Amino acid sequence: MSVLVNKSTRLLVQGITGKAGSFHAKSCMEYGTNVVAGVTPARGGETFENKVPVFDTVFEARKQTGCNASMIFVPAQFAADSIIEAVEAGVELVICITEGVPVADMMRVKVALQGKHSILIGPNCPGIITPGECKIGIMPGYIHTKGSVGVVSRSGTLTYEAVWQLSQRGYGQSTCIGIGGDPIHGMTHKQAIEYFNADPQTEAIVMIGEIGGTEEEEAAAYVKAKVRKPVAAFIAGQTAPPGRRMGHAGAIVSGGKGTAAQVEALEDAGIAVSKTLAEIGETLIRAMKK
Amino acid sequence: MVNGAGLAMATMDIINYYGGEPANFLDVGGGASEQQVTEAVRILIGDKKVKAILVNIFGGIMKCDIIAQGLINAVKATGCPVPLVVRLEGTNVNQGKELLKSSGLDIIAADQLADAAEKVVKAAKEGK
Repeated sequence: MSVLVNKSTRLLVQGITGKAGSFHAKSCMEYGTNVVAGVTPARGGETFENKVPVFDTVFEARKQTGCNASMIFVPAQFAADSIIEAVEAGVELVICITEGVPVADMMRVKVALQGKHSILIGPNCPGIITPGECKIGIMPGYIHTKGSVGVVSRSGTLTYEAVWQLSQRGYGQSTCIGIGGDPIHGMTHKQAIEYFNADPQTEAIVMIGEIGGTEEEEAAAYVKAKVRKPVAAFIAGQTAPPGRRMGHAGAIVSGGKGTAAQVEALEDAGIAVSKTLAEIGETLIRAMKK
Repeated sequence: MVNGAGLAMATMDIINYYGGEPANFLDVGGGASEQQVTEAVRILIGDKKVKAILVNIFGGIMKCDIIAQGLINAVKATGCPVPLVVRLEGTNVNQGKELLKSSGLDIIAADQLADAAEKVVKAAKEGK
């Protein structure tokens, strides 16, 4: 077991003929991901890497190949339309890697998601990986090992750092989910933790948060109420000056809310909070041994 | 100098944790070339408040050997007036570390994040 993606995931890549799309589609295929289709408008009928059929629309790709997940590498100004196209075609899991999608566009996407059964991850995220089975996104595959720790994070490189610390210490991962650094996005920390909590393979959870927004606190409230598995967390940006956006569009201390309150909420929920990024692996391992 | 917004924040946090104070951060992102890395060093040393430079890279799309070569070119071209601490991890890390080592240049290598933060804080206090 794992969460959301596994060996039977049939992946579509939207934007498969572009520079980033083709590079990462290939790297996912090399990892073992079952890439069954690509979409680039007006390029339908072509074949990617002598193997994967390219279609003009997601609807056509879904009808012909039964794809049940989509990875989006479409440029920012068209990414929202691509997400909506996948949702309307009924694709179950939509992962948008693209950075820089306008906030106003994402408001449209949120409305389009209502009443649909599609799950959105991202945008501006590294993607999702179940080690040894299915990699959807831009993360380096080799740092991951199969195991029982679920990882959810708002940042790409911070996820790699945490995963690497765990792998080096012999703690593999069930699934790692990058939910992205934008203010309006799909899956939240809390939703990811709900999946991990329900997954029997996942025995412990790592949450990597950032300053800005209230998602970490919401996740903490859920952990306090429902989660009996060990949870460790790290919040990046604790020394960031208030009011300044720290690289990620969603990472800003605003509304008088400090990071101290964030950390306090996590600790109150029984989550082991790592003081620095360098100790997140050890922090989880200590929590697991308790 | 880092690759990624989250890593930027976490790196500044850990510098603070070890008693240092970050002057700024520069995110080279995922697709920087050797030339861009070299240019990034020029930008950093252009800021007179900068007393030491920490390069913290977790290579994903970004390859460590590209970063290393860009840094070597920068040190050769500018002489780099402040201490330079480099911690590389991830894609092509061994090639990157080997390049830095065999360059014979005055670059302080660090293995882990905590080690890197400690070294750069010390270097900023002591100077070059």
